[in-house]
Amino acid sequence: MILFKRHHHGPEPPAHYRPIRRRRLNDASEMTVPLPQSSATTSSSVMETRRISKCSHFPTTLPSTCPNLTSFCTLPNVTFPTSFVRKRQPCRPQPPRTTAGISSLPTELLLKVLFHLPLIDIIQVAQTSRKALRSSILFPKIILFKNTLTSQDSASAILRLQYLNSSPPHTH
Amino acid sequence: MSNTQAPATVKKLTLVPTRLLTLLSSDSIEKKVARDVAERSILIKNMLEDCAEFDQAIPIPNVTSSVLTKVIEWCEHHKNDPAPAADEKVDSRKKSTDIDEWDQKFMQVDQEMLFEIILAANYLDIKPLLDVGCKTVANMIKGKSPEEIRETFNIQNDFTPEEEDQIRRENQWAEE
Repeated sequence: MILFKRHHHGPEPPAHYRPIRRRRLNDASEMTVPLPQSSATTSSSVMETRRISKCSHFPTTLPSTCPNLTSFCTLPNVTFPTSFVRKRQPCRPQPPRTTAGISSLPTELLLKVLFHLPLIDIIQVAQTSRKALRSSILFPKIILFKNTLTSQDSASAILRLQYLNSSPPHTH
Repeated sequence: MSNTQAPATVKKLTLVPTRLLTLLSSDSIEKKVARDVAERSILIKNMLEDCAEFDQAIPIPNVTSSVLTKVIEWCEHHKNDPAPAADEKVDSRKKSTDIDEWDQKFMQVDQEMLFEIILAANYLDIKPLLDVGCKTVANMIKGKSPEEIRETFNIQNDFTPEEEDQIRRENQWAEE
């Protein structure tokens, strides 16, 4: 939005001078200052431009008719380097987290909790969440048990379970 | 000669007043604590051994004032306990139900505080307090089904139904 403000102490305007009315901009083409083409008027146009830059009425914000920055950026003459444009990352829905619960414990501490539990309870914990499953499969009792389990016979599995529960846990 | 020097040393030690240290919590609250109490924390003990004089408050950036108060309370109660055994196997043989009566009452706090105490004990390297906290959580887990454990600790079930079925099938032998 450009306003050619006439000053009383300035030079006389050229013959074809016509004050430009204050008006609102509707598109990008209107954002340029129309300068006279003839060489005779160039010097006065430069002077006018200098006055504009000093004028306190010169707008420093986007015109109100420009709805938002998005529509401004989609104007044909406005381009940005692609590296400047922050791409939107696709969001994956995350499960809500508790502020401070067993989930707040790091795996190392969860293992310390599991250390005090018999195998049957560790297996129950393992079925609660992915993190618990990941922690429990690191647990020496589970590793040892899975390594010794050669058949799917549940009776022998329970015998091994009972044996492991009665023996002290292995720490390595 | 040694006989004549020994009583003098003892006398000198008894005359030294209990020195107070200032601990600064993450929310900038200062707590005065006796040095022998603070030294239940191996982290603080090592810090004090490395630096001869500590005129300023010792920052504890990972622990809030409310949690620090509870930790100090525990340390004051257990300040005369013998140092934990270096051999961890001795502790590992103890069952999770082996919690001192005072400690059981001390741990009767809401879950948020309980886990904060565990995290603080881990950070401050107070192994007996960490063990008590872990045993308390273990006792809360014992005998519960996966769904009951989820409800107790507000754990989000992030398994897909297929994964849940598969895990249940794999562990079915344990429920028989």
